[in-house]
Amino acid sequence: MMEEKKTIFNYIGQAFATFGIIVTLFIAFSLIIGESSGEYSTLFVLGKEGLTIATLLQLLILSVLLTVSQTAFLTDVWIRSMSASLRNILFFTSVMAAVIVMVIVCRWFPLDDWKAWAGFIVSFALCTVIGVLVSRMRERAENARMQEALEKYNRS
Amino acid sequence: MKIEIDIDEKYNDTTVVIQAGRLTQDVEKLVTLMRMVNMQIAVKQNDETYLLDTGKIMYFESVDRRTFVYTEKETYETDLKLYEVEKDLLEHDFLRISKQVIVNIRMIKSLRSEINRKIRVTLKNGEQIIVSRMYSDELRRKLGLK
Repeated sequence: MMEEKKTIFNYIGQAFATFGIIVTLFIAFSLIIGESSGEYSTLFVLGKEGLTIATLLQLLILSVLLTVSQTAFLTDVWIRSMSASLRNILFFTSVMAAVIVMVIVCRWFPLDDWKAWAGFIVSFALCTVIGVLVSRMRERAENARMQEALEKYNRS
Repeated sequence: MKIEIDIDEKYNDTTVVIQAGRLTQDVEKLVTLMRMVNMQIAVKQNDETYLLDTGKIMYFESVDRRTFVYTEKETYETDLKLYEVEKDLLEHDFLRISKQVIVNIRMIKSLRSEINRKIRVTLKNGEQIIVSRMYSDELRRKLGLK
């Protein structure tokens, strides 16, 4: 039973899978809020007509950054020993940093709009905290289940 | 190699006699494999051969085509390959947890899930070994979790 070794094509596939999900979400957003936010955000300049090639390219760059971050912190390719909680914190922090860079460089919303920044940071922080807590709870439950099974095995 | 098997009700015990011109590695291997039926394994340390109860073994590790046997405090070497150990001890408390390691489940102190469905095993002497993704399901199955 050989362990499957990932190639560069696996990572490219993963980046495009993320890209597909993000584009689908943004198309949904454009249909819902595109018309009202077309003048506010460069992401929805076409309103509910869809996304521009520039936006698609920006989302592809974001997908690549997400894949790199995912590979770095949510696998043991580069970092061998680290707790799941710390991995999640580092993953969400790096993703947030990547999104902030994209917002600034691509002007996804007006940079002087503190309400937009506050909304973005609060919602992202909330997602991070929930993600870390859920992952920590799952990790603890799984460890307890394995430990119980081990003790049962050793008693038999 | 000639093999003779004599089955007769007159024998009360099972006796295996090995006749050879000299003690070769093959003969030693044969003895080791038979010993494993009695849950013992022939191991070497500093050119001396010992018979070790498998219950005392924490894990086997294959390094550069050599097989090392680890107990709580000592390290030995055996002529057996890892797949031979696996074949004979799988029915007991031993389980392959990676390409290089077979562990004695009864020597595991604790288990901790790691990223990518791997498991970190802490042995009773504090040593830690990683169960690779491909073998972690088998460990879960052996423990009745699957």
